[in-house]
Amino acid sequence: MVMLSIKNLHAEAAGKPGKPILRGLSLEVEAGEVCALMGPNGSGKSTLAHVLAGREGITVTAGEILYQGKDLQTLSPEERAREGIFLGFQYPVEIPGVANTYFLRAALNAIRKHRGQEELDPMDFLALVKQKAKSLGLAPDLLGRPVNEGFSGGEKKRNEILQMSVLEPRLAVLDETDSGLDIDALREVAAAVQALRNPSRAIVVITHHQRLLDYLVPDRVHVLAGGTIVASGDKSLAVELEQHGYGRAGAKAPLREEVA
Amino acid sequence: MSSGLDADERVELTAGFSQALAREGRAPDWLLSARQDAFDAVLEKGWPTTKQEDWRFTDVSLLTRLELLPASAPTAVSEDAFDENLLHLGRGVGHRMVFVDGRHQAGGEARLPPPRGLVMAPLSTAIRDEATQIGRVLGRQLQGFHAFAALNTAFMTDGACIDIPAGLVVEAPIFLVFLAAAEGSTSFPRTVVTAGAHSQATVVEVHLGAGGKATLSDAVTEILLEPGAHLAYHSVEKPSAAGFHIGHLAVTQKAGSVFFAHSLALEGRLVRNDAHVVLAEEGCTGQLDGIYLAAGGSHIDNQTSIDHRAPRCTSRESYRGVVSDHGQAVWSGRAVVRPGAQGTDARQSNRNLILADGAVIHAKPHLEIFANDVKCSHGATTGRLDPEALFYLRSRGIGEKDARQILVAAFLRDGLGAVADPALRGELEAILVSRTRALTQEGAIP
Repeated sequence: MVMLSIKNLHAEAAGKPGKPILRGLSLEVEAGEVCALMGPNGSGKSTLAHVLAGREGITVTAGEILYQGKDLQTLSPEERAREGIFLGFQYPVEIPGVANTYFLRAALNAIRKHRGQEELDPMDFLALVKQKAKSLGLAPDLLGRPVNEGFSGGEKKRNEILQMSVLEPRLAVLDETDSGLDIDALREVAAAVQALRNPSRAIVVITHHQRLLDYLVPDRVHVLAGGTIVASGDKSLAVELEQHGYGRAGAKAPLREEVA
Repeated sequence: MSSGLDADERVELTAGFSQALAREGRAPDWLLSARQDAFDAVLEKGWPTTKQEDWRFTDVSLLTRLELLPASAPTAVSEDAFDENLLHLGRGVGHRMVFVDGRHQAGGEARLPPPRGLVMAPLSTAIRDEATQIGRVLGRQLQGFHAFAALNTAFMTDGACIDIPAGLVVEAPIFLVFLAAAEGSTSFPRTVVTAGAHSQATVVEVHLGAGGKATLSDAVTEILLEPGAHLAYHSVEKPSAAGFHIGHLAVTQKAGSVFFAHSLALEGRLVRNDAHVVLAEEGCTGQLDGIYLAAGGSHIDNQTSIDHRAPRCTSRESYRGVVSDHGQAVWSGRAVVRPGAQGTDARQSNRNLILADGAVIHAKPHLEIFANDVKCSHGATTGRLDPEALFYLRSRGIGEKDARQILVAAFLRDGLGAVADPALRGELEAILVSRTRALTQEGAIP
């Protein structure tokens, strides 16, 4: 089953018309697939992630995005989340005054309500979250603290994966979840994502480095440059990129002009 | 100079004052002379006008059209008219006194037996009791205050006299609940607290107006902290959307005492709070915190000042608030460091969230420093909800309205961080959250 189908997507930052960031990007992701999206800085990887999550400030000027066959662009960010889309933030936001568990329970209950399920009572929820946090190696006291406030870089990323494991999305887009992690944390986070892999879920992993993909082996690898996919392949493409750089994959900077 | 009183007002007030004195009957001489002096001060000062710096943004002409005399008889009161959470604040967990339209309601309230030595008496009895120390404190700190404080002294009918003997630690908070019930009425609640040397206590005043009623509560609280005393003082103000509250807090601290005040202003056609703390002797700590929620048509004005008159004292002023819809808030924080008050450590901060274009905040932190060995800082910020935080919440499935409400409540709740009593903090948090929710539902918070 096709989970996500993007065709000829063009997008630009609101307020900066005529300077497209995505330029005719097409991509298909199957259910059950882990697909890695790689590419140099400024190639449009994070913009694509934000377009999928529905962030304001980015205007889609052409193209279509179908999620489970439905047009995604008519949905608000919260509707997308309730429909099963999850964005793992590159820079998770600190929210003073809102306890981590309170936030996550509000999110889970909003999603359950949308699915026609009953709200989870606080005790059951706490038991669920504690168990998930433990398996992620997240210190229990982080659950009661304000969302991401004073968390280390690694704790913030683990907290993103904790949210993913509690919210159980159909399509997870993980935006540079590996950045800012030391090698041990990287291995643990990768293992946690690996454990969330299943046949009805698609995971798009945005990364600069091949290292994450040693632990979380992708089914497909796409290279993004100048706002479009310039190369696709299996996991060996990631290895090749690591050895030879993006230039070999046809992703050198001049390509942007070509595409434009 | 500028007397806002016209001839008719003078005649009306003077007649009202004679009646009030006649109604009071026999009273000690010190009280009669205090009332007379205060009344003379009202006539001399007149009502404040927007030409005065402290009143630039707060126009009292609406409320001076009310009958500014004490109600002659208490009204029958239905509990249904009041905000339930606030009405029941502290019930069953603290010592409580309840007042309706400025008069003490005896009995009818479950209350913990006060610890030995603690005096909790209605002011109307205490002022006739020679054993209390009230004459030593009452009215002594109010020089320089504006006419409404003096008006309270002239007309006060009742209130609370709290006397905490030296060394006593009062565990449970003392709750003083003042209800304003009758349409068009004015009440003059007066609280006098004497915190004995090395005593510890928490006092909570709740000023609550009946739904929809145009009432005025003109309240004065005087507090004296003896050396080494620890006192936490809370006030919660919620007249109705049509109601008025004018409050004055005057505090004097002696050596090594620690005072913490927290004000929570939730609603009102006009709420004005003046808080003035004098750090009179060495080594005191004085803190004034507050939260205001000026949504709908509410106008909330907080004027605070801390006066460092002795060396090595620490002061903190930390207020935060939300303005929305057509709400207006005013905050002025002032710290004065007198000559000789070396080693002063004074900080002020004020943070505001503006949630709608029609809302207004006037913030004015200021320091007046006449000593050279001091650490002082101040700052005021005003901003909108963080769009990144809003998107983060929404990206997890939380609806936009709920997300905004969560962020607003969190911002406000952060202003309770210094509240020491965890149970009280929990109750105040619940009040803030439910008020934020109600305002969101009404559409006063977008």
